[in-house]
Amino acid sequence: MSDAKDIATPREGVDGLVDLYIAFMQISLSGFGGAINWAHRALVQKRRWMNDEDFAETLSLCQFLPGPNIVNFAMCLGQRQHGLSGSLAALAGVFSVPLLIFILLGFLYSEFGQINFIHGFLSGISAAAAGFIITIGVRLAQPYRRRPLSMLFGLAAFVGVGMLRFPLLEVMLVLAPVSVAIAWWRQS
Amino acid sequence: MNQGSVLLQIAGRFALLSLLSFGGVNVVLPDAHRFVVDTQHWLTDQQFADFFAIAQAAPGPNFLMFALIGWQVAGALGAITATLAIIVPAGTLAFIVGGVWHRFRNAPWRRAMQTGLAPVTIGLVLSSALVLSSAADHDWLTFAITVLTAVIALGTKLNPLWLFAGAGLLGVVTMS
Repeated sequence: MSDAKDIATPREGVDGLVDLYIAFMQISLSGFGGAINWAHRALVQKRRWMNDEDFAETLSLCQFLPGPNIVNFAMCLGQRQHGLSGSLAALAGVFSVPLLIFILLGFLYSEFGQINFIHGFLSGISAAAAGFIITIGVRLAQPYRRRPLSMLFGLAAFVGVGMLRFPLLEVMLVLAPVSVAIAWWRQS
Repeated sequence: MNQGSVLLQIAGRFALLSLLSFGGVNVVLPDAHRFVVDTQHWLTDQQFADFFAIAQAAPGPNFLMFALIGWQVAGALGAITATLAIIVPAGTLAFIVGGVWHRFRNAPWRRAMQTGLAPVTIGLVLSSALVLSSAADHDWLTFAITVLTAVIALGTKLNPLWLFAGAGLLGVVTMS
């Protein structure tokens, strides 16, 4: 556990913004299968910008809000250190270099994607990636095995969006308020 | 359609998905598929599945799959537009809420929202799995790869990159 008094003071001014940019670029580039472990290593262990408790709390906020966790994390920590410019520096770190890589990949794909062995390679990987998402869904569902009402809402979302291919907005507008209202009623 | 209106359509739709992505971008893939493959015909099923695969395997966050979609539709400008559309609305919300979070981090409505949204998120992630699998699995072999990957990833702690590499090689050997 890192202690609160161990927290390092972020550098002032432009230096601080550069630090944020570089930290989030590193996290963003190394994060496979969720950048969160890398975020903990970079922000808590290496730079000591946050302690464990702080990290866990910020993470729970970022998971609660819509959007990619790493983007939300960059906005929150950047803001805490340097206000709006800190958020923007951290956010730029998250997407600038990876976006260049992805534009290059998009270019390579449209040039060479139809070459036989590349097409075969991608077909194999995309089938595996679909399987990997099944794994994520099943893992997330584990804690709810014995909660039939929660399962029911999960099932409704799956049938609506996955099987019947209804639009996400409409399905969310129906399911989310009811599910949240029931959760509210059960906890009070 | 001219490029300006295509960019506007990308920006508008992905910005909406950004605000709906409770639990990350994996929950909005079915709707993205619906829009770019079924409605607009900008991508084929296989391209959609390929982009998802590239985003999973390449260095960088998964939401950059939307950059690949944008690239395919409208080049570099499309990639940038799509990326900003998927991160700016949610990021703005995080900026606003992050500043006042300590006031209601223990508020009962927050716990109710979290508890209520979680199962819906799970159903949506599994919807993504279904949509991706029907886009990627066009014969018994690809179907078998999907099932095997899920079983192995659930049963072991193997780094998924190995599974992807194996599946890719299998694809090269059998499909080319």
